[in-house]
Amino acid sequence: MKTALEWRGVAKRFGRNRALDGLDLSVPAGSITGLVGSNGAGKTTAMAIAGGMTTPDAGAAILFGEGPFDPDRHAGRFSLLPQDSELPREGRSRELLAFYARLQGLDARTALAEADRMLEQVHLTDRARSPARTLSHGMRKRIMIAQCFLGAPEVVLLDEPLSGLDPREVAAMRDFIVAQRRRRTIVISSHNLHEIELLCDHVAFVEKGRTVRSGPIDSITGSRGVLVYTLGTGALPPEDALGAAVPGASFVFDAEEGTLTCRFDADRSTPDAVNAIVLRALLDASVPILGVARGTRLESEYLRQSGG
Amino acid sequence: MIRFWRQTFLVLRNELADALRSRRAIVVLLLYVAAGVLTTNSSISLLQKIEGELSEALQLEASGQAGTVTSAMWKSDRFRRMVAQAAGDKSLVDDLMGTPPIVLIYGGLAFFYTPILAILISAPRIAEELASGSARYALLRTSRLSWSTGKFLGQAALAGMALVLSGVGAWLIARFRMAASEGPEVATGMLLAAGRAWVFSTAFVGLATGLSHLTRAPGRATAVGLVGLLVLGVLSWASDHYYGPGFRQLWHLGSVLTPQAHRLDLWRWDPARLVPAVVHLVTLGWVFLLGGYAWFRRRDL
Repeated sequence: MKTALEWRGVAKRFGRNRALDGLDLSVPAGSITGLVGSNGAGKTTAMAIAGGMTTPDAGAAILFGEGPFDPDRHAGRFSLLPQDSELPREGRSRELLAFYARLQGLDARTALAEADRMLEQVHLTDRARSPARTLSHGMRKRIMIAQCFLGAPEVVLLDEPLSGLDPREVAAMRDFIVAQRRRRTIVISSHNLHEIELLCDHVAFVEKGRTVRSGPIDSITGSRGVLVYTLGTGALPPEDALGAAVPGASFVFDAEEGTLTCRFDADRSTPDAVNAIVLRALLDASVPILGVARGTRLESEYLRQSGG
Repeated sequence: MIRFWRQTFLVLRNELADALRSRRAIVVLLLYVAAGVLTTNSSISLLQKIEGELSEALQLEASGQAGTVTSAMWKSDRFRRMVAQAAGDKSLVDDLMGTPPIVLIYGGLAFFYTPILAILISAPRIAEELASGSARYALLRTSRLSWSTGKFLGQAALAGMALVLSGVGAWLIARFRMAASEGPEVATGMLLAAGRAWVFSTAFVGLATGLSHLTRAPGRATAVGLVGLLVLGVLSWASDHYYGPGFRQLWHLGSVLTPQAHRLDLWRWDPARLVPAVVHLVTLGWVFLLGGYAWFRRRDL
């Protein structure tokens, strides 16, 4: 798969604090990749380095296989929603967006059209002439998201894009981001794992400035080769019979949680086929079944990975 | 290169528009005009008082308008010779005496307050964008050099606009309060004085924007700018005062680095003196700016 952005051995210190410690991560072109990690894990620094805002002590963030970010080469092809960056106070929404679009190389008319298009996308057409200082936090955040998608950027980095938005806007922004799937490469940093699970197809766990695990979400959560059954109170699943029914699969019963986890080779059997066999075996043994789910949740996988 | 200047121009235009929309810049712009108008007005009042006393001492008929006596003196060859002898620089005195007195008054005042106002307006600009992070949105799309250059030129354009407005204000006051100020000579002279003050101000705008790259605190940038202004003033005075033969020739460096040393040459008409002064002052502005940029180009945002 083609790589749109790659961090290669990136290290960065701020005084005594080591923000990145040899971060290696490849972002596949056309993917929506989530960066997940605890506070201070290095996600924001990694994004800032990719956008040329911060200079790494070692390593580099390579864009499009061409080299580190260079505004002369990459303006308009790459964009970033930086964390904790305010808009110019006196700038008016439409003029600001048009100004950024023009800096990207668009002509005056196209820049204004782009500004109008993005204002419509973020539902702020009625505030086109408002100075940034008069907008609410959520509105400013939407303008900041809008500036990321001016023109046709190939790679967009969004640092905590949905924080500070009201629930309706969160849903709208989420739909907007999902609609960009496969048209652009998007990297999202967020503490909200549910959000990452909904938006992303790839994920990377970053801790202490390093990538501890990365890949497609369904392989990380095991959703392709894992089925989790929630059983009734006091149930005891027939593990031997199950093992015989699904050759090559492993079953782990957690009596405390009342869950039975079935891991199987997703390349050899489909979840539907395995589920049919397991359900039949459980029903034959009169085990009460309360629910079935595919895979483990990203949150539990992240907590397991980070030792939480 | 075309792309660089195109983007610089976009930043300049945005900087100007942003400044004109901000209340603080409007206030400072009005300060420029007020400084031009009020100081010209009080200078005229002072001149009128001196002329009144002079007329009384010489038992001449006092004029209702200020400037009658001064204009007469200004045209007197004997007075010119006297001033040239006292100043020791005949060509400079000839150039100055060829300028209407009210223009000299306005120009002198503009040269005095422009550096301070340039520091007050320009020094916080870049620092506040670095503090709020708003600089990042532009710097994703243009190089740091074109952004810094655009900011500098935008601030210089703002200072030019303010000086022209203050020149017009001073001319209006002179027109109504001072004799022989109706003609185009005074209006043109005022505009030229504003232009000279603008050239002088570019060095200080460069100093202010250069220093503004060094910090994220707008207040600190202003304070450092004012200290810088003071240091340049002291250096200019010291290089003038201590310059001499031998090692004291090194003080000449001080005059190379300070805009103040080239102020008077801006009033000359001789291109051999005027052009180097203009080039020197504009270059100083760029040197100060690029000094700050050299720090900024690698710093983390």
